[in-house]
Amino acid sequence: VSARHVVASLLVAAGAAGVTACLRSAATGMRDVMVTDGGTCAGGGPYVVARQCTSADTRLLMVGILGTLVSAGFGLAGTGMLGGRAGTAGLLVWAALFGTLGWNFVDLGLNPPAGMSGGAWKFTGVLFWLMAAGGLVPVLASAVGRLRRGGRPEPAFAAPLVVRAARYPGTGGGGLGWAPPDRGDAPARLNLPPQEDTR
Amino acid sequence: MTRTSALLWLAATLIGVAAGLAVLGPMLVGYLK
Repeated sequence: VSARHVVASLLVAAGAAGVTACLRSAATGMRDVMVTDGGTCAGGGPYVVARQCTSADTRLLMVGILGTLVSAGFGLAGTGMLGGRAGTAGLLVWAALFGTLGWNFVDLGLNPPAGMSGGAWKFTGVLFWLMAAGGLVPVLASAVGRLRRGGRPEPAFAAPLVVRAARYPGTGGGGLGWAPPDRGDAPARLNLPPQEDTR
Repeated sequence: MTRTSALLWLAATLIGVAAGLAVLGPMLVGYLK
């Protein structure tokens, strides 16, 4: 294990911890908005806002969303340093993001706050989980495939291109193996009759 | 990715997620709320 491995592992651990913590922050802020404001809130602007966002919810959501992106960057960098695919790690972050936020929708859809109906939230939650599955399924399929191959990396997507050269028929050997074809009876140059001046 | 790198990645990810769930997440939410 080299120093590069240690640095990369620390980056991955810091990224994973940051993504988890920030996702929790975003999910908490989102849940507060759903429970106390019915799912919508706003602030500022020229009109009177019926449901004002609390400053705590704004902080939780903003730090959660931006922090998740920054932390994911650290994790992806560490994954690349270890020789892994950053895209695969990105798909995991995608699945964690939509899985976590989808849980808020499903949970509050099944147990809606007093005076609220959870039908739309259940639908949205299932939609979020389907999006999470879109990230998780390719990662799991790739992992299962690797285990079946005994840990070997998957073969190249396409075989390298092979250029096959062949001699032009009738040119014999020598030189570069190519010569212009025999013109036969074709004229050596194209002779056009002189055009009459119609002006 | 070699087997060693894959194991390091898995261990680092699990440790990070556990730390985020148990320590960092509650701390961050408590600080921001």
